[in-house]
Amino acid sequence: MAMMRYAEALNAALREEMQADPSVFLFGEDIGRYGGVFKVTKGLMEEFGETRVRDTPISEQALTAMAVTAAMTGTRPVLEIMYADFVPLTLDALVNQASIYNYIWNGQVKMPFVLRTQGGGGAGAGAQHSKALDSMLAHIPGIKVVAPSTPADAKGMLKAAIRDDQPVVFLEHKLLYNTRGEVPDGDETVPLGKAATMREGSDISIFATSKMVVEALKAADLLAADGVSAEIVDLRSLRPLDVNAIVASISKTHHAVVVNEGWRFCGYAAELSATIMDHAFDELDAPVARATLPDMPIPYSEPLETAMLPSAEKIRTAALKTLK
Amino acid sequence: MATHPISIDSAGGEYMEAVLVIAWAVKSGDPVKAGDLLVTVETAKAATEIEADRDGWLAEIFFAEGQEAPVGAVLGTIADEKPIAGKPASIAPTTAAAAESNPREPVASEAPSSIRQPGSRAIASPLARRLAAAAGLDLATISGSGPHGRIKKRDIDATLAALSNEHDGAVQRTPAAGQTPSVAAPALARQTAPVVLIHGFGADGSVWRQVVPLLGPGIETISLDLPGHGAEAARPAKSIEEIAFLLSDRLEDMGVGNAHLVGHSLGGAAALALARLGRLAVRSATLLSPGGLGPEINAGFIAGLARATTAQALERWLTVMVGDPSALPGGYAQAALRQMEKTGNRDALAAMAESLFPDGTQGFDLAGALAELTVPTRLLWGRLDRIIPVAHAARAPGFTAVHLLDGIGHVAQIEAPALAARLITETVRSAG
Repeated sequence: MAMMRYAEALNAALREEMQADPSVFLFGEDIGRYGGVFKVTKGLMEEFGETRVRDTPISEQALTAMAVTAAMTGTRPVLEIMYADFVPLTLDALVNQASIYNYIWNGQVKMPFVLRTQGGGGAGAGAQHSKALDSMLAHIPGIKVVAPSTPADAKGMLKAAIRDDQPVVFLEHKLLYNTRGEVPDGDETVPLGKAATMREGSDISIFATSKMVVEALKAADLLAADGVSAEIVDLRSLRPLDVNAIVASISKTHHAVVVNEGWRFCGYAAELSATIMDHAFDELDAPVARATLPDMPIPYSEPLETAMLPSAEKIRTAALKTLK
Repeated sequence: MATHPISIDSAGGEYMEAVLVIAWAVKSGDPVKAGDLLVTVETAKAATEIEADRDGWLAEIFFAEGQEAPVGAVLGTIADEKPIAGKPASIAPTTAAAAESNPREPVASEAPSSIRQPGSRAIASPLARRLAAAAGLDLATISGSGPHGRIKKRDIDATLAALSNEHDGAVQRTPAAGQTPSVAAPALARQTAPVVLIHGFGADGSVWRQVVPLLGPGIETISLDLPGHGAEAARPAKSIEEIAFLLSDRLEDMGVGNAHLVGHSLGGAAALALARLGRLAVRSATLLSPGGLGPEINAGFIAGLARATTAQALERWLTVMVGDPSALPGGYAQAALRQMEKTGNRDALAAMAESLFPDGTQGFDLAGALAELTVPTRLLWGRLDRIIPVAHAARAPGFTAVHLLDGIGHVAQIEAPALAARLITETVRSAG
């Protein structure tokens, strides 16, 4: 085990996979000489050269189409999209190409690429650089969407994503890059589609991904002071979703708060709520509560942004309301 | 208004901790004279009549017909003055055990003021709804503590805990003034399919006494006496089919259209015959050492049971029933003999034994009836059964759960009541 920052864990995963498999290559805006705006790709161009680590022009649409064709022709590209806010520019390649070729060509085409991006608020980055558009991405059948919350999962899941033959959207969070945690040494992967129980509890289950897991864990501390034992489940993968883990936890606590940093309407929290009702309706002792972003753009003003983002305190409030 | 308790302290309940209220001879508000029959209760093996010890009016009934009362409980009260209609006298029961004892009845009489009108839909969480259904609780009788009066799991838990406490005698409950104790027939109060208990040859409903209180909450039981036995001593039957018909008629009279069947020995055969008859919707079947799955039966035991005229002789035969004779309650044989003498069913038993078990053989085959069951089915058999060989369990079809019990003889419900109750409960629960 080694103590690492989240960004360093990602860097290690990329380095190890590039060392192990010459078909893995990276491209994106400012990822080479600059090492990426969040320094995830730092030092990789020096180590692997300008062919395998490429700086590109600003055109997310072209880059994603390039990832699709590179993957189809036998390589394992890892594309970095600097902000999740630019994901809409990638959607044609994802929705009309990457996600469907496997189906319409009867499985004859593999699509092993990873689209890394980072989203989320809390950094005062304004309406165009703070969004979590995971709901939009998880809506698309045929691609995987994962969002690890710890350095260990960041490394293990990125390695698994690079080795996956389906397109994987790998969602990072700008406020997680500097978080530290123990990361297993060596070639350890973390399977995609498996949730992790971060804290055991008996009164209420809180389901979250990415930075919201950190908030949920803080909420569990607040709730403990309220006399409530909260179980925190890090879903880790939005799609495929670990439904069994959700049902198992609900069957224990009979109450749930679903947390998502994205918008509420048609959001991932709504999907989780419906999933819980599909699979565990008779275990529910109260309606599922949602902690989400309100349906409006994220303001630049820090107090207003703080007021909008789902937080430990808001998760606590939702939990206490559910437990009434 | 002064009232005086009607008690069963000296009513011959020395073998059991509880008695069953069979019938009230007078209604609440009726005048009574000293020496009048008030209520008939069933103790270990005998029906006992309780008479009025004074003149007055029957004021209150605390244990309805079909309910079990702990020995020493106050069954009701006699008032010195005529009670005013709708305002029954209220006294505190005078013994620790005095409490309404039947935990399997919904607690309509103590329903809080916020309960819903009949017919309106109860607001309950899905979990509470499921738990209530499993426990046989009527949501309409439960007050919800959640938002908008929603019934949550904690409300179900509280209700079940209250019922369980009553059952343990830990909580004393005095019937509240202004509430009429429920004296409705069991069929009217029933919320879910009841468990119909059918005893074996030469026995009666009392063989279920130890098991019934251990069944899961919300499970209601109806104990049927076989033709020629117990309360039906005067009406013997000649064949298993006739037994099934007579039992079916009685269930129809009670308004029981579907039920879980639990049968022991000949009662197990009767349960299978009842299922085959098709008039009753059978929800599940738990059979304890049932007859009908093979030709062998201990003819000596059957004959001895029917012929015994002394407690000593009967006791010798009864010890054959069990794997460990010390499992028989003390005085069991004596009580059994007294009941047989009282109801005079020895001749009926002998006649039935002759027609049901000709030449020491089980004269009926119900393996086919068992194979046709499409509901959860469980078979319990003591490995030391000396009445019907445990080898018959091997004829159970594949869907049947078969439990072979170490150290147990022919009467698992008496020898291992907790296990028998658990397995009956699990069968009933698994049927939903």
